[in-house]
Amino acid sequence: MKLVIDCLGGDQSPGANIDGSLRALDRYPDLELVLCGDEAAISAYLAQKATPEARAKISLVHAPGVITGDDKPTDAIRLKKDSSMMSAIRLLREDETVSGIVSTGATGSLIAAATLRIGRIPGVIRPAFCPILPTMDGGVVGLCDSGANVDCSPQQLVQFAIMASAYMKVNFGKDSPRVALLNVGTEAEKGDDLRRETYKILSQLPFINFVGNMESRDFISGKYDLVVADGFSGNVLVKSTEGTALQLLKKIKRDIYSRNVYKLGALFMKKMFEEEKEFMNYQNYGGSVLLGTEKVIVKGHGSSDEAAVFACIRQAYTMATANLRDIICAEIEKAEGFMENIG
Amino acid sequence: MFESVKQILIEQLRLKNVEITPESRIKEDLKADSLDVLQMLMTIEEDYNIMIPEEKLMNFKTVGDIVNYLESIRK
Repeated sequence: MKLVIDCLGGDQSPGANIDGSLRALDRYPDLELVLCGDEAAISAYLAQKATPEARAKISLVHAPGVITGDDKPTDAIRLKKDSSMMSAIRLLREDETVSGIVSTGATGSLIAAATLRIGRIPGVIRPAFCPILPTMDGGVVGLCDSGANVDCSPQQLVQFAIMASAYMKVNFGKDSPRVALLNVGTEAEKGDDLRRETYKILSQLPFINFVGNMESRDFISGKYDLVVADGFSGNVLVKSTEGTALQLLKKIKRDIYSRNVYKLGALFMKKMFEEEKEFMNYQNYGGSVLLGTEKVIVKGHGSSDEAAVFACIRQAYTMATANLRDIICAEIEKAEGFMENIG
Repeated sequence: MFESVKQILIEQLRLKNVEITPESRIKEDLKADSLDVLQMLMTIEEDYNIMIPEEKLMNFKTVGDIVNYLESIRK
């Protein structure tokens, strides 16, 4: 099993990316990694930290250029061919033995590069982006799509449900993921034509556990394993959820410091606050994946540390080992037959 | 030139038993969507080591349009 790691572009790159890689090599004996970035810097870092066994499983590609969030994705992938991200994508495209990429770099460029240079699984209309969030009952929920496709058709949303259901099964052990459609109400007739048509198809597909419409307030309730949305609504949902949680935490912290009696009370709740912080720590839940491409694409948060990079590599390893690509390909083909019959 | 563009199209669009002529319309006859077209043009850019201007990228209607463009920049 060979994966390529883009070692530039993250806030803590390349250190966190290399440390996460070394941890993954220690965990998975059959794993080999190709690290893309500034070869001299990576070599020096590895000389200090890598065991001889780990070093033997690492190869390097010298690509010191960085694609940033300020670069326009379509320009970046055509003009910054020698960047670490594009070098990693090129290797993924050309080397059949490389199964996937993990990057903490610019999201838009990674999605564009993966979609255009790696290509889609046959039958997939558009690849979709799927992050994972924690739920109130201690589980996780996936959201597909969270921004790769602003305008969608009902057929695309149905494919998102199929691809992400397979992902939730493979990576999170959900035997029959409960799939909900993001809408402005729970009744079947709610929403616009896109939502109503999607509802109609999803409720007839026998191999999707569609449980109906979901209002945004129930997103992390734990009632659902997967939420399907067009990329525009999905992006608004995920950012509102994260933003509300962070702002609320900030307000609680500010209020605690506003009175001595609150501070005293908070002392007794210190452990609980630490647990809540850990609960909301994105680094515990791995990266977002791009579903529907020929090879595995995992995007870690820009500020990923060693643990977060390791979690991303674990995700990529699991997807590649389970051959998620073939599962998605078969499910999409099966769905096409059903959709033709539905008309 | 036509043969090499045709080969890229066959591989990129996974075409089987489809007749490709310079008059073939990329979207209508070869059933390519906008993403296929972009993907194919980027492969051409890489293979020919050229940069197709952005305003041209989505304006190729037929296989012949692409071949003519490539021949024009080679002159």
